[in-house]
Amino acid sequence: MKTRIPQLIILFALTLGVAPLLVLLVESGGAIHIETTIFSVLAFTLEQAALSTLLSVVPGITVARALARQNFAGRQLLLALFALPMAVPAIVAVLGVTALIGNAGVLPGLISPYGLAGILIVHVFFNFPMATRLFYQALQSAPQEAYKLAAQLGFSESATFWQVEWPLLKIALPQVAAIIFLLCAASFVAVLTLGGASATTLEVAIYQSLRMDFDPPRALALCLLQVALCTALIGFAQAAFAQDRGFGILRATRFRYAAQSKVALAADWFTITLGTVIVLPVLGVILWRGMSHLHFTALTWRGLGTSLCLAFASATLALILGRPLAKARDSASRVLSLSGLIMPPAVLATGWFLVLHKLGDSLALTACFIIALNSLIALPYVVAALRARQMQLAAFANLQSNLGISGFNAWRIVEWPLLRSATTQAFLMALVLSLGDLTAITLLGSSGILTLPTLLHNEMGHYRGADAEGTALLLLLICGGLTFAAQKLGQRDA
Amino acid sequence: MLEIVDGHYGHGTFALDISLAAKSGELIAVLGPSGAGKSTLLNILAGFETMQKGHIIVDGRDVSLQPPSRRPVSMVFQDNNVFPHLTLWQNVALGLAPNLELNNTQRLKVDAALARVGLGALASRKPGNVSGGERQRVALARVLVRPTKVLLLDEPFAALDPGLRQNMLALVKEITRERALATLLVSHQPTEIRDAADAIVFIADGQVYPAETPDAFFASPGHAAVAAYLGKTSR
Amino acid sequence: MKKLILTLFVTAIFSLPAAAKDVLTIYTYDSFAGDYGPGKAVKAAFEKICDCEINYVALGDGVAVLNRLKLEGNETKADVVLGLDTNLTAEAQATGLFGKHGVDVKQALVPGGWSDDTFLPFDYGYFAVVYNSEMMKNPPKSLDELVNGDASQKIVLEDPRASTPGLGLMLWMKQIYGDKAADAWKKLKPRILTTAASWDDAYALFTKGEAPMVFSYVTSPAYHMEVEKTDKYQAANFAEGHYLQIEVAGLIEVSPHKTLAQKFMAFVLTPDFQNEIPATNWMMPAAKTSTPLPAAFDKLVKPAKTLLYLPEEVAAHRREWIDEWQKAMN
Repeated sequence: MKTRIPQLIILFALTLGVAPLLVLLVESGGAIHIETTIFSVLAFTLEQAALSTLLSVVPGITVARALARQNFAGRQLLLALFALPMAVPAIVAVLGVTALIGNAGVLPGLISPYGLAGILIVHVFFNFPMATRLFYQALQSAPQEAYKLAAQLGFSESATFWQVEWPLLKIALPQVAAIIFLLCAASFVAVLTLGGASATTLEVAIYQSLRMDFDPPRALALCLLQVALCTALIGFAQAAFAQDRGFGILRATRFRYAAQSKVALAADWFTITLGTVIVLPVLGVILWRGMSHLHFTALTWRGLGTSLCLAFASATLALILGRPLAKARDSASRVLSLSGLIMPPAVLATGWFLVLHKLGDSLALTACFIIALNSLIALPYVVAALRARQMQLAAFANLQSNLGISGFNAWRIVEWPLLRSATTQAFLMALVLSLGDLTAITLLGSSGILTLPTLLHNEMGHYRGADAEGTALLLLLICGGLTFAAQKLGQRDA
Repeated sequence: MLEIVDGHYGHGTFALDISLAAKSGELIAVLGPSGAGKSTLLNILAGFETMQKGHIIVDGRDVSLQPPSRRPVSMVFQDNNVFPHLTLWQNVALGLAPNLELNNTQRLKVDAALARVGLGALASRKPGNVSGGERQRVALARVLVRPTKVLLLDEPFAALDPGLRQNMLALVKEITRERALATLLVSHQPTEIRDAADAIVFIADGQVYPAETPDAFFASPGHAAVAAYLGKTSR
Repeated sequence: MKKLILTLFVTAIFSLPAAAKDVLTIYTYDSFAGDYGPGKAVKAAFEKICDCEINYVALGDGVAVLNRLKLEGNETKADVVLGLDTNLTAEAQATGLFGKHGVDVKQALVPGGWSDDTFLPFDYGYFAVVYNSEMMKNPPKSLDELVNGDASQKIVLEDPRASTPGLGLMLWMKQIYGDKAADAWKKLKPRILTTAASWDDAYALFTKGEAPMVFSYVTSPAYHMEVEKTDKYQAANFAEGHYLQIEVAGLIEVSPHKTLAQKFMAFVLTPDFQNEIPATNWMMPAAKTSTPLPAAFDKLVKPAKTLLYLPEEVAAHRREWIDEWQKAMN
């Protein structure tokens, strides 16, 4: 009998968010004002999200594969840098992209960042490196023998891809693609700021109905539309990528024996360079602009301390909830693990607030809200990072239950040693995501909780754009340090 | 048929001097304490590791510099010999065409190979749905469809029960004879392979000892290392 | 076990020492309460005279503050609300939560005068098109010139659905063009570089040189003159007049600290509060200050005419006007 406590906790959290609004919806008699423009909103949402996903996933796979094949000195560093975009607040990324190709940018007139192209570039900047890291990790989980076989049987590059690598990628693909799709569908700042007024996504419509119109029933109706649409798409993705039983392995790939043709070598390096070109210049802009404005006031330290505390708490909670979800193979668990992205955070936060504000308005409660919302948003990443390796551990399920190893002990004795790198990667992603988060704190009200991203926005809101650049850099440096530490910790793998 | 003269392999603190000769149709058991370099020897022959010194001669040709796929060598591992997402038939077919596009002759060849190892009826199953012994037979069937001269088996039957191990061993021996292969089989069960093996190669203390007949090997251990390995004390 | 540690950890970090004094809870927006805003100094000044403690609950902006009140209804923990503007007061009034402020409104010095006995202005500012004089030699002299001008000279706007200045421009256009507002938006469209999600984002794009114009406040250049010692950023003076934003404070009728709240409302129009407004909120004070305004304020544009809708009109038509704007922009 499997316990499904995490699933129940998440379901409870979701119910807590939706139920109060559902009550309002029923009370309003279901009379919801939804304009016909909603169809063009839907179409645009799907179009840009689908394009962003495609442009992140396909290069993500090719770059991950090239990185896995080419062992070079800077590989770990490059992968560490690829972890950073997740921590970059959306507006900082937008300003980074405009600094490169905007009207006053380094390469003005290359591609105008204003419009769909700009939205896609920012989305790819955020999601392509994340996808690369997850796919790279999946590729590392092939058994050594698979590559020996491929070498012995004289597999061509495409045969190696389809027979060895694709089955591994397929385990990670639906979750990674779903995350990116949902993230882009819900993208707000980048879509509005670069897309302009005509770029309206469903998320903007939901935000509008909660904010300007204060019409929770309408927001809920739109939210349910989004949930239905996303769930259907995820179900479709899962059906399209039916999973096979994975290799049961303990010794992951170290060597790839296939001799590489010059063409393949050139292709790999071209891909890696291209990937680098997507990610590094924006990070470079943040570094270059922030360097002379790096400042450490009392506020900085306070923001830093609070950010780290909140992020560590959120990431821990996300890991506790995510570990069993990564093991679960039923589709309900899969959808639940994505719920933090499917469900608009604005709706959840409103619902939670309606139920729980009676408990008081203490800082502790607000902090708990923020941690809960952040961990729910981080959950999909945690599950994605753990899934590929977790599936391989399924082979030990019987042994474990036979020995009566369960719960925390199972984690300590069996899973942590075996899943060390996957777990640190999962934790890191949750951590970095929460560090850069502004959504939860904006929705729930900061009430004196000052994090680095809120500090950054305070600075921007008071004409202190230069200080904000320093703060953005600090955020990036902290995340860089944590990523480096996590890689060191994860590498001490058996 | 298969020969290595004055070979040397080193990796970190590990070193192995290799001299080896095997005739076609001969089943050689490779014995030795764990960590001695049995798998390394096989990896060298297959082309997954490279000797710093010496040459590998197969059928009169030097294959030392050839990549694994160009060598007339097939290796069967202890585990993970089959791709979990492909059927048994497809797994064998990979030996002929890595893109799985086979012509009629090739298809018949795959069918015949599967039938030869007794898996004809299970051809369309996936590895997850057959037993461990059957998965190893798939690997043998794949050897049958490839132009192999040297067969390397790295403890391939360690996970099987004794009766099954004997069956598989018999099958390996038959194939070795039928195809005139030079077969090297790493084993941890010296007594079980005693009857099947034509010769025994012992590896210990950083060197590969010359092949002996099983009877000679078991009757009078020539070295202290062999005695220690067999659990006998030398007098 | 882990969750217990977590809870203890969080509580240890965020719990505040229990206050012995009366606590006045003020709902306001982030940038007022935030460490760069006037909140800190206001809190210190009021605590000196009230024997109480101010607790700010900071939300995203005025709209978020109002929504929080609507969600909480009579159970609100707010005693005072600071930071709604006149576009929101009709809706705020409709919640029935606000009581009379009891302060003499004649002290309030805002364009057009003040007579509301529920809400009290604490600062005001005119919206304006701010331009970079190094990039633009001939800024538009009227809204009409902006709408019909050279499309290669772009402007960064804010989205009226997400931002207060964005809503301000929409109302300004509506007031000037009335029924033809949609046409005017269509004409303006090629001049719009982009419509940002917030003032912060729009202004950052502008100061990075992405466009020569941004929709902001008349007071914006004062910051650059005072702090950065540069006068390259200037507000364009529009012939039709400028749309006005008045930010107000109100007290909650059912507050258990109503006396204290009333005391605070009286404090709002005193120099101790008003002195903080110009150089931290970068808005115009709504009453007399005891210290002179920063010198740069003298150089600011003085709008010839004040444009403002009544709160009731905004409340009644906002939704329809935003739909109209959205259709025009698509």
